[in-house]
Amino acid sequence: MKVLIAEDDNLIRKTIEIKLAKEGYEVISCAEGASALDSIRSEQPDVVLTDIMLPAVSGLEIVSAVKQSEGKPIKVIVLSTMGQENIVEEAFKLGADDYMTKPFSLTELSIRVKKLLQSQ
Amino acid sequence: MTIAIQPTTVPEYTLYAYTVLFAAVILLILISTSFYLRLRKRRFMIEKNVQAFFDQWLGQMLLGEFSEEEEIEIPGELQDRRKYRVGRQYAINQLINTKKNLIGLASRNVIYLYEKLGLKKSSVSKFHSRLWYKKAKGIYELYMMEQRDLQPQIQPYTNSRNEYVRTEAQTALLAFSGFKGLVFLGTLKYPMNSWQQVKLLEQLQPLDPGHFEALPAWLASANDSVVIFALKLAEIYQQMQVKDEAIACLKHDNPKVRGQAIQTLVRIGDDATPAVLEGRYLWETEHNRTLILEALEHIANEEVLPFLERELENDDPAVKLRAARAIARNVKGGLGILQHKAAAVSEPYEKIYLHIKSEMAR
Repeated sequence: MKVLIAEDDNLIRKTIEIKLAKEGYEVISCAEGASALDSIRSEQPDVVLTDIMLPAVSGLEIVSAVKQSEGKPIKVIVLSTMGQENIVEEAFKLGADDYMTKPFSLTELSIRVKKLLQSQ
Repeated sequence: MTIAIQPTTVPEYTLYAYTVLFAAVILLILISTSFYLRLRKRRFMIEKNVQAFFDQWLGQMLLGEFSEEEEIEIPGELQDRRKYRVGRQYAINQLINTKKNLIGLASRNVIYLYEKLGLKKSSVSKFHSRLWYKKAKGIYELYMMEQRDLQPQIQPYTNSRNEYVRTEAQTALLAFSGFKGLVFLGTLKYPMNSWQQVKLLEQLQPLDPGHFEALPAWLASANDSVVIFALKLAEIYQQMQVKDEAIACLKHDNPKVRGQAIQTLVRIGDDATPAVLEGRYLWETEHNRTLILEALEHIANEEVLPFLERELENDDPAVKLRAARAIARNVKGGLGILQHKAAAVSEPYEKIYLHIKSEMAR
């Protein structure tokens, strides 16, 4: 199972990457929205984890692009921070499947990824 | 009229001297700019080097299970040496950032690594600096990394003359001890600005409310900002036992304190509070009168009906509307009173009646 992480914070991205790799997922990670969109097209991941605030192309644009694409269905989890409730609501309107608010637990994140994949 | 400078009036050696001086200044500027750029480049390269291995290394470490006694190997770039200072600061910043973004095992490991890597020493050294910005940063790092043993040393700085040091120290105390950290309010000499008050209240929000034994003392503080903050605490945590102290604040010299007391009494007052607020109305500033009417929109009763009916006649349409709202929402048959008034004097009471009616129907 492939998971794509779009997160501009290097250490957070790396930590999620290591955690999910330990759980047996194939992980692709991107620091920018634009490269994430390219990787989504070429790699066709099963789950996309995206931060809302990304340079150039935002997390919302990623949600929108993923949900409008005609390829295989891809689940999207949005990573937000406190006070971004309106944006999270917007993400759900665009088709996001789940969200987590920072600070979050990596264990909880991996459980949510697993549940989303089971629901496919 | 133009004055022509005669070349012969400036001696030749002076011209040479100025040329040399000018060239020297330019040279000095070029050398210092080049030195500064080299320094920045070096700093950038060190940070980049540390970043390259640190994110990978730390990512692994954050997910590890460690025992208290376990020793970890400190990478060369993070050794406690002067030349690695930039790298160590990068490591502290990254650990703090991780602590803000992750909870659970990773967050606990952040503190473990901070201590094991000897980074606390760097924060303590900043805390002991005589430069205010270093001291404030040191305090910030120490409370973010939950270094509670430093609390007794940080506590005196809650009363520092420097605002930034003071606010970081106050935040640190709450981070270490929760509600008990508010002890600094008892001795605070300097004002707490509104932003700091909001920050502290937000910091307390997720915690279980503690006891507020000192609340009466804070409400009698000579520091007006402490009184305002204490009134906010009484309001948020509904500390009914300080109702009388809050009422006493209605006669405070500072209108901001009186304004906050009005707002607090909406939450902690009793049946007699509307009449108390009415009693202060005439003596209040324009702003606080508005606050009283807004308070009465929530807590008015029959006792203040004559006052509200008087304010219905006020020249200011905004006052009329607030008084009408207070009557309609709180007095038995209040909407009927407004309807009756609208039938007697259609302009502007009919509009007010219809507006309030539509508000209440929502």
